[in-house]
Amino acid sequence: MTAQSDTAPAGNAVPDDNTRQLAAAGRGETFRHFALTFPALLLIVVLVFGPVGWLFWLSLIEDGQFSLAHYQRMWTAAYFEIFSQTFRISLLVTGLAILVGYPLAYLMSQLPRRIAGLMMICVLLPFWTSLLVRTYAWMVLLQRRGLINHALIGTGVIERPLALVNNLTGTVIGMLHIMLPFMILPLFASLRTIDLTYMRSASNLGASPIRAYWTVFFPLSLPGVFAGAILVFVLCLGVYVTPALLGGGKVVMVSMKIQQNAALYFDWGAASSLGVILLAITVVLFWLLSRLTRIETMFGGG
Amino acid sequence: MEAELNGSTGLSISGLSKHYGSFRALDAIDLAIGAGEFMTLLGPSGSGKTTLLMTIAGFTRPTKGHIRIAGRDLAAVPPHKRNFGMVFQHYSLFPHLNVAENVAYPLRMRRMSRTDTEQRVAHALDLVQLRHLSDQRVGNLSGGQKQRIALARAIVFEPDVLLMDEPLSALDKNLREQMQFEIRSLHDRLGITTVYVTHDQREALTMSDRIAVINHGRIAQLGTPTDLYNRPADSFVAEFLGESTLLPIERSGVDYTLSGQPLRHDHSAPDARYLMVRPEKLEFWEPGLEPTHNRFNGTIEQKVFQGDSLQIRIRLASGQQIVMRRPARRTVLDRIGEGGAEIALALHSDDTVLVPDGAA
Amino acid sequence: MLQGNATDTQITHLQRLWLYILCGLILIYLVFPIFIVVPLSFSDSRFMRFPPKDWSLRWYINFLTSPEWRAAIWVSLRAAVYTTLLATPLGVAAAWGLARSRLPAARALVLAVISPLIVPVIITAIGLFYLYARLNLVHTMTGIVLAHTCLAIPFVFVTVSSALSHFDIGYERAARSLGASQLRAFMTVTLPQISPAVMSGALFAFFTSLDEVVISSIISGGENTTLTKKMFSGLRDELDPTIAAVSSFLIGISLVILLLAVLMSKGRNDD
Repeated sequence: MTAQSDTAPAGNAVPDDNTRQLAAAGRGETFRHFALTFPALLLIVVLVFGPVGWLFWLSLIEDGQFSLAHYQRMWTAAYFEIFSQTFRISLLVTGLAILVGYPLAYLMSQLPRRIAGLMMICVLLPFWTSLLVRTYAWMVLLQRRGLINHALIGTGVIERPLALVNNLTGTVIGMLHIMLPFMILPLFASLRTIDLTYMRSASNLGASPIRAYWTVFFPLSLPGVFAGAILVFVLCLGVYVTPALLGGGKVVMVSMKIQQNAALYFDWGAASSLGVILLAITVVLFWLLSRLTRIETMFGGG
Repeated sequence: MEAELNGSTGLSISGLSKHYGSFRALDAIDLAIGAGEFMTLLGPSGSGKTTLLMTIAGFTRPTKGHIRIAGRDLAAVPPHKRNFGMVFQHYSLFPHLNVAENVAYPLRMRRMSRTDTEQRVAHALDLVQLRHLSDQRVGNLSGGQKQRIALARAIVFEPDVLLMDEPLSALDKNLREQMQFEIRSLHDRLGITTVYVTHDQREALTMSDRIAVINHGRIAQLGTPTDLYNRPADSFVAEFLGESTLLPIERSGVDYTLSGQPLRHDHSAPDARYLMVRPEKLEFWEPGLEPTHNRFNGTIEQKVFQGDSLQIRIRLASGQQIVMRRPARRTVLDRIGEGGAEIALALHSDDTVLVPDGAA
Repeated sequence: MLQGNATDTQITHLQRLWLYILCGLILIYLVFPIFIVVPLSFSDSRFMRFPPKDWSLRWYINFLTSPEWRAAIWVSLRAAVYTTLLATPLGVAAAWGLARSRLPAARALVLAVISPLIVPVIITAIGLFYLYARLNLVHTMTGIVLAHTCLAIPFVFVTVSSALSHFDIGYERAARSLGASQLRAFMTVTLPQISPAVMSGALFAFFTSLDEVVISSIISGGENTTLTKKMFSGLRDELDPTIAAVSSFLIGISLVILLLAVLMSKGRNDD
C-alpha cells in the first residue's frame, strides 16, 4: 500500500501481471552467461571427464562383466609397496619443501619489495623452466662424474663418488627442486598478509625477538604452511617424469605403475583401477585444501 | 515548482515489485514522474531506493510491474537501449580513457560522426565548466571534478531521463552543497526528467520538486518538500525528515489528548498515535494565544548553544521530554531562564501535527 | 651495519646472519642447476664431463641440422601457439561468463573448468589415448592442441577470474547505461583493464603447452612428435648430449617468458 498526499497512480487501472514474461527474460540472460562458459566446458567434459569416466567404468569390468576383481588385485603386497613408497616419498619431499621453503618465503615476506622482487625472480626462473631441462640438469649434476661428486672429491670430503642419482636420493633431490616454487609462492603470499603490528605488540609486551616469532608469527603462518604442504603433497602423489628419469628403475611411483600397466602390459583393468584410486585420493586432498584455504582467509584477516 | 504531468517524457511506474525469495525489496510501487521533474527517492539504507533506481535503469529485473516512458513499456528493453543517463556514487569514469574520451563514449556507442562528437563533447564540458580538462587522465582529477565529468558524460547524448545514485555521498560537506546547487542548475537549464537517490534528507529538501520517501520497499509518502516537512504522513517520515519530537497521544471520542490535555489541531488525522513537534515551531507562551495555540507547561532541563541557534530540552508536566529550538538572538537569550526554571510553550494549531505510527 | 636492526622486534642482522646464508644457499639450489646445462652444451665430449675439456658447437649443429629435432621444435612451437590462441578466448569467456552468472550451479561449473588441474596427468593421458585411438586423433596436431588446451584453460581461467573479482562491476554498468551492450561493455571497458591478467594467462597457456611431457609422450608421435616427447625418450634411453643444446635453447625461451612475466607485473604495479 502506498500512502500519497499527491495524485493517483498513473498506468492501467487494472495492472496486468507480467511476472511470467519477466522471469522468462531473466532465464534468457542467465542462459546467455552460461553459453559463454559452454565451449570451455564442452572441451573439458569430452576430453577429461569422458576418458576419466570411461576409465572408471573400465576398472569395474572384467571379461565383460561387472567385477571388483581389479580393485581386489590392488590389495596385494606388491601394490601396497608401491602405494607405501609413493606416500613415503611424497611425505619426505613435502617435509623437505616446508623446511627449505619456509625460511626463504619468510625472508622474502619481510624484506622490502625490491629485494624480495629479485629473490622472486630466482624462484620464478625454475618455475618457468622446462621440467625436462631441470630434471636433465640434475642428472648431469648428480652423476658419478658430475659436478657435485667432483667438488666433494676435489675438496677431500669423500674419497669415492656417491651414488646420488638413479636412486631414491636423486629422485628426492629432483622432486624437491620441482616442488619448491609450489610451496614458496603461496606461502609467500600468505606470509605477506600477516600484520606486523602483532609482532610489535609482542615486543612491547616483553617478548624477545625469537619468542615473539615463535609465539605470534609462527602460529599465524601455519595455515599458509598447511595449504602449501597439501598442494605439494598432492602434486608429489601424481608425479611421473622426475622419478621416471632420476629413479633408475628403483623408484616406482603410482603414476609410473599406471603407465606401465597401460602401455607395457595392456592391462587396462589394473591401470584404470589404480588410476581411480589415485584420483580419489587426489580429489579428497584437494577438497581438504579448499576447506583450508577458505578458513585461512578467515584467519589471515587479509 | 509544480510537477507537470503532461506525460511526454515523464516516467510511469506501476505495480513494480522485486522479490528475493520471501524478501520484498520493492512492494507494488506506483509512481508517476512528470516530464522535466526533479524527483528524489529518499530513504535509509536497505529501504529499496537504490533497487528502485536500478530497476528503472534496467540493471535489476523486476519480479512484476511496469515501467513506461512515453507510453512505451520498458520491460523488454535492455539497459543500453533505454537512453537514460546515469551518474554513480563512485563516478565510474573509465580509467583507460581520458576526460574527452570518457564523455565521448556514449556518442561512440551511437556511432556518431567524429565532428559531431567533438562538438557535443565540447558543449557538455562547457556546461560543467571543465573544458580545459579535456585531455587529462581521469586519475589526476579531484572528486568534484570527476563528478562533473560523470555528469557531462551522462547528458552528452541528450537522454530522456537522468538517474543519479547518491552521486554526492563521497564528497566532503562544502563541496557537496556546491554540487547540489550545480546539479539543480543543470537540471533547470536542460529541463531533463531527473530521478535522484539519496539518504540525506537535507539534500532531498534542497534539490527536489517532489520527494518519494521509501521504506521497506514501499513509498511511505510522496509530495513536495514542504508537504513532507510540515505534514508528514506518519512517524517514520516525521523522524526521517528533519528534527522532531514524537509524543504519544490518546484518543478520546473524536478528539485527541496529550496526557489528558485536549489538543487543538487543524487537520483531520484518523489513526493518529503521536503528536509531532518540530523544535523550531515551538514559541514562548504569551497571554492571548489561547484561541490559536496549544499550551504546554514544563521545566527547562538543558540548554545547548549550537552557534546559530539554541537547543532547549524541556521536561513537560506529564513527564515527557520535548526539544525546542530558537535562534540565538539577544531577545531569546535574555528570556530563557536557567536549568530548573519553569517555562510555558505555545504551539500553533497549524503546527500541531498528529501522525499515525510508521513502524520504522 | 650488521649490528643494525633487521625488524621491529629489534633482532639484529648479525643474529640473523644464519638465515641470510641459508636463503642464499637455497637460492643457489634453485637457480644454479638450470644454468649448468648451458656450458655442457658447448662441450666437445660425448660424455657429460664437467667441466668440459674441449669446447665446440657440434651439439648445436647436430640439433639444428637434424630433421627430427627441427621437426619436433616446429611441432611444439606450433602446438603452443595454437593452444594459446584457443585456450585464451575460451578461458576468458568462461571466466567472465561465470563471474557475471547468477546460476546457483556456478560454483560447480567453476570446479569443472578447473578439473584438468586436479586430475593427475597420467590418468588424463591414458584416458585420452584410448579416446583418441577411437577418433583417429593419435599422432595428430589437432589431438595435441585439443589436449593441451584442456590443460591450459584452467590457468587462463584462474588468472582472469582473479582479475575480474578485483574489477569494479560499476564500470560495466556505467558503460551499459551509456549505450553499450554487455558484450561491447566487456570489450571496450573491462578487457582493456584486465589485459595484464589476460596476457599473463596466455603466457601460462603457452608455457603449459610447450612444457607438457606426459600427455604428449603418449598421444604425440610419428610426424607430430613434440619436442618434449623426443627429449623424454632421449633422456630415458640414451643420454645424447644434443639434449644439452636443446635444453639451452629451451632455457633461452624460459628467460624470455620470465622477462615478459616480470615486465607485465611491473606494468600492472605502475598503473
